[in-house]
Amino acid sequence: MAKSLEIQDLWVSHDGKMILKGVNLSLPLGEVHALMGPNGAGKSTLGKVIAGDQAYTVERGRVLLNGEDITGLEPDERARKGLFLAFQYPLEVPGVSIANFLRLALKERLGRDVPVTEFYARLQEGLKTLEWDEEVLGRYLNEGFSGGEKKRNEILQLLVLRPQVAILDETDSGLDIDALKVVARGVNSMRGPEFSALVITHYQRLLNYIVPDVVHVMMDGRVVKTGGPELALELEARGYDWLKEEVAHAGGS
Amino acid sequence: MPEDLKHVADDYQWGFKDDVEPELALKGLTPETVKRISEAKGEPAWMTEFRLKALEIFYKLPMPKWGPDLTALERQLDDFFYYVKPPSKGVADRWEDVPEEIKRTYERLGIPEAERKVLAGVGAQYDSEMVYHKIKEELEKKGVIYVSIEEGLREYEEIFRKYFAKIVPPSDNKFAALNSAVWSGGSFVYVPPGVEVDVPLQAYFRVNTAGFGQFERTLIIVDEGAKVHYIEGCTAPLYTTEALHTGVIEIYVHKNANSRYTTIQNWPTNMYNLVTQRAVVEEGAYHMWLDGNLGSKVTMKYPSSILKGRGARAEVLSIAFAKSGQHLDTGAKLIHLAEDTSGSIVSKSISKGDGRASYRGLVKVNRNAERAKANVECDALLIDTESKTDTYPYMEIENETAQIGHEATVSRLADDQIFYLQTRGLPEDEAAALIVRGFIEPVAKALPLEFAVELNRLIELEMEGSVG
Amino acid sequence: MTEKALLFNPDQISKARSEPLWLEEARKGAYEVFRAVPWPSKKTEAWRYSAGRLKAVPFDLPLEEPRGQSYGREALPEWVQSRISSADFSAFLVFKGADLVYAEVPEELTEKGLRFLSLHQALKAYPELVEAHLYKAIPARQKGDANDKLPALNAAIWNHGVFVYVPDGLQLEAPIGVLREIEAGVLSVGRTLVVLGENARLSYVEEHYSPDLERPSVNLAMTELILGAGASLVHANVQSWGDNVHHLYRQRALLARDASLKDLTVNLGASFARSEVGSELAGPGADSEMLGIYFADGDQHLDHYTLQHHVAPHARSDVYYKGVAKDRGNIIYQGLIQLEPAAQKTDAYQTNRNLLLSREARAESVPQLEIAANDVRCSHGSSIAPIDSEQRFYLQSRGISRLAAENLLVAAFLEDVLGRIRLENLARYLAGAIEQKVGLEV
Repeated sequence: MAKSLEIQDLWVSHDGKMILKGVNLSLPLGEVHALMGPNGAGKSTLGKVIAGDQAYTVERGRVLLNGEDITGLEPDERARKGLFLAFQYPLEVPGVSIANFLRLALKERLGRDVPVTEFYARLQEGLKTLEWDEEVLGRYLNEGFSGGEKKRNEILQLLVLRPQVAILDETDSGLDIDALKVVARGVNSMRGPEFSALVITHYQRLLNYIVPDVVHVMMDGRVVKTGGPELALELEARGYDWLKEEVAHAGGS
Repeated sequence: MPEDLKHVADDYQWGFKDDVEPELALKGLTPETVKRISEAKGEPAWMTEFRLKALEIFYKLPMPKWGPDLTALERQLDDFFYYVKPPSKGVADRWEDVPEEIKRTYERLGIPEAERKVLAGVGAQYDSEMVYHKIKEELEKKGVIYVSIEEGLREYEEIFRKYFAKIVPPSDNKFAALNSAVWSGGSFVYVPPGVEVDVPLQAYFRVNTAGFGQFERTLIIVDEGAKVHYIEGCTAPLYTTEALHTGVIEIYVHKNANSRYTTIQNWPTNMYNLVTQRAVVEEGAYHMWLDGNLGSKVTMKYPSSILKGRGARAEVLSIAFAKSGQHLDTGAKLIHLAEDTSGSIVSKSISKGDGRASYRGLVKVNRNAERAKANVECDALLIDTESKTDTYPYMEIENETAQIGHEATVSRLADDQIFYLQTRGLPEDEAAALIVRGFIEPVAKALPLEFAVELNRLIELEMEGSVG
Repeated sequence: MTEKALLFNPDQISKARSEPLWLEEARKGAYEVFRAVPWPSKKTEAWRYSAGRLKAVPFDLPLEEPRGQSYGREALPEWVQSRISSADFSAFLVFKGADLVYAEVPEELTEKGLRFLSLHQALKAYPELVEAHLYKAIPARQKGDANDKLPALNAAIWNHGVFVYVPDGLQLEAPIGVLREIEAGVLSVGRTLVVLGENARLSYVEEHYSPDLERPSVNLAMTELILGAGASLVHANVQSWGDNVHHLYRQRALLARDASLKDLTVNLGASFARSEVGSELAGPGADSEMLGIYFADGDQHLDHYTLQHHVAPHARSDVYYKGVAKDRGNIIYQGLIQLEPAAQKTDAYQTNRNLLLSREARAESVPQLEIAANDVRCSHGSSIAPIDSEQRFYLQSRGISRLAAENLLVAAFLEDVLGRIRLENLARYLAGAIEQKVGLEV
């Protein structure tokens, strides 16, 4: 199966501190993987580094997208190649309306001018999936949005830009159950043989609605365990401590 | 051209020089110069006297000691050309009659296409004199006057004299005095009671002669219940010598009238731009200043609104974009003299390179201005480490029922915002330009379309390669 | 006033008190500056609203001289008795005129290393400490212009004052205080020097009081606050002079790395008061919170100037000044946030709120920013408004008198400033004093 996203022995530091210490992970096309782990494991860092955040320094290793090394690329180049990061804390950009912004971003994604009709068709579809009113398009990008609205807006961008690989960074945090269902519906509508996603989450809750094919667990800057969906349930039931011991044990032997 | 000016010239779209030989050029600031200007214009004696008196006031008043550094300007004051008459048979009202070289210049600037498209009237000033003035016939029939200031004095002396220098007297400040002594060109606008001019009147100011001072004077009278929107744009070629633009704009907005004055200056970065703009707003009337400052080396400009009648309202929208080597000291004044008056000032500034944008403003509420309300909002965006910004808002309140607020923020172009937009596929430059455009959006959306387009173009140009 | 009336002889002050040579020289130098710079005028930006009042200040009064008085605790003035009974000072000094008339500094604090005495006593007992710090935060010459006039005069002729020194690592929880009364018909020139060593901690309160005076007096006071690395100071200056006092005050704090200052300036009394309060954030991690409360009634003219000068990166400062004016009172606030190019990652805020209670009251507010660094968060806000008539109506409709309602609303308006200074007893005392002013018909 084609490896859509592949992370090879990735070491990353920030402000002189090593955060990722040799991450290996592969995400084949058509699959949805969950990335779980306790706070401070390095999950969000991994998401940002894959998207190209230059606040972090890659010390070693590579990120491959469809077999191409994208480690040194600018964030926008990665986005144009089909990568998408749904932010844990989406930024507010006052004065820039969602509609104008998305049209510009779509133009970049497709590498061509986008006719208004095509653009609106995509928008309408996304809004419908997310049960959102068109009125939101005139609002400024995330300005004055509630936490839930910001997350919904991330998914709207996902639906309009239709990337090949999406990384969802704690998209469930701060959402009530209804909003969670709506967001999950948006992500699920993207699922298919041409789309893969890495769902970063601290809790198993989201995984009831976006059922992953594979679950990875990160601890202290490494992927320490990979399994099926049942692994998420086990973590929910038993917490992370047993895994910590297991890892320590394995490391010690 | 010296190397240090080269980059400015590359960026400055209107920096070409026109091949036009002047008919008369007067250098140096003396009573003789002033007399000869007055003579050349065939003015009545009272105006010659007014000019000479203003010159004396100019000599007496000290240079402003606050704000941008004007010492270099002070040294050059005697080297400027104070009057440069372009070759012309007077003010044309048919485009064909404008001298060929000047016509070519204006066509490069996109005039008079603009007129043909959307404007109610167009005026064009070249160095010291208006070369073209034209107003739509149906407005003329309704009694709307839109002529050069000289023609205003000649043809409508009675109404002219009633308002001229009454709103901005020569003693107001040193540069108002200078303008009063050597003024030349500008517009005279009168809109009769109840007449609404729905599309804008527009004037273009162009400086061509090196080492020249342009001193236009504009007088706008909006009579009871009337409405007008006046737009002014300024450009000049780029010379190695510095130039001076000192305008005086007086506007009288009568009872229940509605007036709007838009100016976007994009002077080259060796121009001193020192302008006095003031409006008197009567009962129930409304006035808006839309002030865009993109060019010039130094700008000092604080459009003011005197809210004289009950319920008068004023609004100021201001944008400044200070690039390297520029100091834009701009702001606004609201003077509340009557009850239930209200005002708002929104100022957005961007500083890039070592550019410095300063907001300087005054809100004054007099003892009798019951229930006056004013709000001031100033936001500054800093692009580079060496960029600078200042805020000097003065609030002087003598009435206990006033409600006055001022809020200001300073922020910088944030890396995380740029990263966020980049992850959506926008290149870095474009992401930065988008954020800057978003920052000024609340003001930019009030701009006439062609200015908005020009402003966008400028921001894109300026943000290219500016981050990273 | 004329310069001639101001022919002081700084030499004589030094000689009369057998001061060290370095101080004599410093006084002479300061006097030169005083002679050289002009008086602040309307054109002096920081003085634009008070230059007229300054002109009317009678600087040619006789200099207040020490008379060697000293009191027993029982003989202290009534207001002092009342303040010390409720202020829970762990140590305090009482000044009458230029004399330190009473001192209560427990032995155990002195043993721990606290130095709390008059500046002239300190010159004798700890000359190196004084020499190392005096004039460091407020030099006689800073800008070389009219702004130096008063600091230079003070530096040249001060003849009473307070010295506080907290050594490295000494952390004092309970506040210490100075209570001072001025007499009629004098020019009183005092100076306070507070020095905190590394990681030292102190709360220090200065209170100034007099009854209404028959003849005018001038109080020209400077306070220098010098905070070592990691030091933490809570400081309050409370001015409740009576009528006929002209109060001219400058305070500057120097904050080293990670030092923290919480300052409160209160102006309730005096005919004319001018307070200049500044913090220089000289080390990264420094934090200066400057609070202010002022209330003008009658014909009082109360002027405030704040300065947040950021020299180092990663520092924070916050000014929060609130004023009330009634009758013909005039309240003024001017403030400047100044960021030097090196002051990246600064957080600086400035807020001024004013409440006008009567027809002839007036307020001026000029919050200013000068920013030469870009990676910063700065904002300022300012407002001037009357009492909310709907709120007042609401309270009145519940049976509260108009005066009581205004009282409540003024207290509510000032409440958040008082709440932010961690001196509960002082906050309670001030709340009472403000209530009196609201109720007072002049």
